[in-house]
Amino acid sequence: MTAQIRENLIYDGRNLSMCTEPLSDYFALGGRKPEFKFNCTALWRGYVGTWEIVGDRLYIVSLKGTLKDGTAATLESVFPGYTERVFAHWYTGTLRLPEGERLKYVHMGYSSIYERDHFLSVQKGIVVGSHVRQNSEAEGDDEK
Amino acid sequence: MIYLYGYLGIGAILLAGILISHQLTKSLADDLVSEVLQATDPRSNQWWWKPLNKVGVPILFAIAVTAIWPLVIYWKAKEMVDARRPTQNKEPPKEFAVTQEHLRRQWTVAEIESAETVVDPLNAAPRIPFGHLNPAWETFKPLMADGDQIWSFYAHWTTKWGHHEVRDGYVLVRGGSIGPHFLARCEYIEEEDSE
Repeated sequence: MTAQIRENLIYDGRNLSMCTEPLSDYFALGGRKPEFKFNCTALWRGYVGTWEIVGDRLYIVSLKGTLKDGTAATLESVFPGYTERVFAHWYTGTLRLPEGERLKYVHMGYSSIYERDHFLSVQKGIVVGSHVRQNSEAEGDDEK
Repeated sequence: MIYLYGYLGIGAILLAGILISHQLTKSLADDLVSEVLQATDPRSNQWWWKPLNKVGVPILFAIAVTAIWPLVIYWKAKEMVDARRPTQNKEPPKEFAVTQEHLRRQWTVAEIESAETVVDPLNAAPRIPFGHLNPAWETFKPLMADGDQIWSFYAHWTTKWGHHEVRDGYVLVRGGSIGPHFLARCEYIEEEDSE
């Protein structure tokens, strides 16, 4: 699978990239899922979400993509009546935020290796912890 | 020589057809996604990126289609045939199911709805049980018949992609056997966490 375009995250006033897709969990749990149009092998999911952490809470604040009928996908396509932000209360897991220079490009999913990975632990949409992992190119080799 | 011109001519006609079809079917939203794709590609800041994508790639595409158009037709035909062919001899992926070992404790619907009501100070979720997932919960509730019990469950699960997850939620227990379930949470476990 081609390397995938990452989600965006606004955290501590910084615009970061995120190698986690909390909306996938929403769809898996039975949340409303419109039919996204597949445009590109680098975007199998068909959309790019922008997320924000306010206080300790994770919100999705915008969604860009194309629906199967050719119209633009927005936050309201998934969450009718919510145009500005949606609290990701359904999400429990770990957000991975790659930081620093890319050490190694891997042509699959989110497998490329960066200098550091910042992990945020989230419970029901609330950030409960974080840690940083220093990476080296060798870690990618280990995974093969 | 006339055959070569004829061959290239057919390729040129096919190329024109592809370009016209692309222009007719592409939408404004496609351009939006293209912008997103370009903006997030780290190579887009390089000086060669724009000329390569705006000029180089289209020229290479045109040459390729004109030169090897029989292959293009073959690939497209194969794609259409494969899309229509029913999947055969494929074992359906194993479906997640709650078992007795996964059961935690018995609840009432009122207790669940009280515990699972979502409250957000920015009002970015409806203040109802399971928030944005409430429609799924409301679909599940009528499945409960007289005499049914409702239990919470917690299970480890490996997806068809080989990913390890922890799943929890609520399940109906009917006469001692496990009935339908409602999935409330699904946590992907990183390999380093599960080791």
